[in-house]
Parts: sequence; structure tokens; C-alpha cells
Amino acid sequence: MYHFMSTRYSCIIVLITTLLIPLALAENEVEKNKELEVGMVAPDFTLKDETGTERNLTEFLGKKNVVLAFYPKDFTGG
Amino acid sequence: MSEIEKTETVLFGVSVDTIDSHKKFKDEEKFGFSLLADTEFDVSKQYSGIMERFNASNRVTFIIDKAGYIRAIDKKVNVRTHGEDVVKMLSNVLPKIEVGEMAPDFIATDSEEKQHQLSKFKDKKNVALVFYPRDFGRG
Repeated sequence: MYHFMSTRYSCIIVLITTLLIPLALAENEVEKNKELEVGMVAPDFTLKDETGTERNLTEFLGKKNVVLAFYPKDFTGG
Repeated sequence: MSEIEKTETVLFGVSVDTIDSHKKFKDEEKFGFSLLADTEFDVSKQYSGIMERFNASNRVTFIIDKAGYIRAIDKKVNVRTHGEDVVKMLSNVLPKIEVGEMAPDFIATDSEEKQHQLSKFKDKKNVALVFYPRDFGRG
């Protein structure tokens, strides 16, 4: 009986640990996505412009500075 | 706009609106720059953050230099003066060194963590500084 219990407990411990590992990893993921700061490399992206053409940051690397002006909504004063 | 172009800079507006909406908005306002459609919110989440109340990007402007580094972040955008403000920010943030001028001194660390100061070479050696975008990039 005692032996059975300890096996059961270790099973539970293993189960809890396996459940917690992805949680801990997920937390790290969130941390990685922290706020951008001056001096950091600007993360690349691909977005379509108003003509449907795909634009990304790497096309300007070594050629142009890029200003990205984020704004809430079209037709609301820019 | 042309003032911004003079600094070898391209400007993009970014919001979570659709390509169609951007096309109409650009036509109506006759913007001389492109608008990017971040309809998946991915880029806004990473850069500006999302205003939860309006489910839209925050109003934030990023200045990225030719090497791909963020050189300025403006979180207090004044819509009316933003064009001029961006030009001012660009001139403050981007290097402008003329031939014949004294090279600005700096201290930088090399790959062996040894520090180098430009002024230490004064009257001793000529110095060539070769800037390039990124290690393992296109050279």
C-alpha cells in the first residue's frame, strides 16, 4: 500500500511538472515580446501597402532610413 | 514630405485598417507616402502596442536608420506638427558628417571586448571606419 502510494505521488509530481514546463516556456515567450527601445534592431515584418504590394524593412537595409508612423484609424485626422 | 525624402528616408503610415480603406484614405488626403495594412495586428503588437478600448494601434512613430536600428521613438505625436517634428527628429538622430570636419570621438568595444577610442589614434595613425548593416548579412 505504501509502495503504491509513493508511485502514485511520483506520477502526480511528474504530471504537475510536465504541465508546468509549457507554462514557464509560455511566460518566457511573453517576456521576449517586450517593448522596443532606442538602440534595438527593428524587427522585420511584411505588410501590404494600399496598392496590395508587400513591403518589408529588409528592402531598405543599407539604403534608406525608415519612419514608421503608427496611428489608430484611417479618416480620423491622420 | 520632400524634406523627409532629402534625408534619404521613406515614410510609412501603419494602422490595422484594410488595404481598401488605406487606398481611399490616401486618395482623399493625397498623402505622398504609403500606408501599410496591419490587419493581423502583429506588427502593431510588436511596435506600437494596441489600444484595447478602440482595438487599434497606439499613435507612435519609430525612426529606423539604414542599418536597421531604432534611433528614435516618438510616443507624444502631435498630429498637426508631426511632419515638421519628424524632420527635426531625423536631423537630430541621423549622422551628418561633412568632409573636412573633425571626426566625432567615440569609444567602441570590439569582438574581443577590447575598447577603442578614436582620439587615441590622433597624430599617430589614419583610421578607416567601415560601416556595414549587419554581421552575416549581405556584407
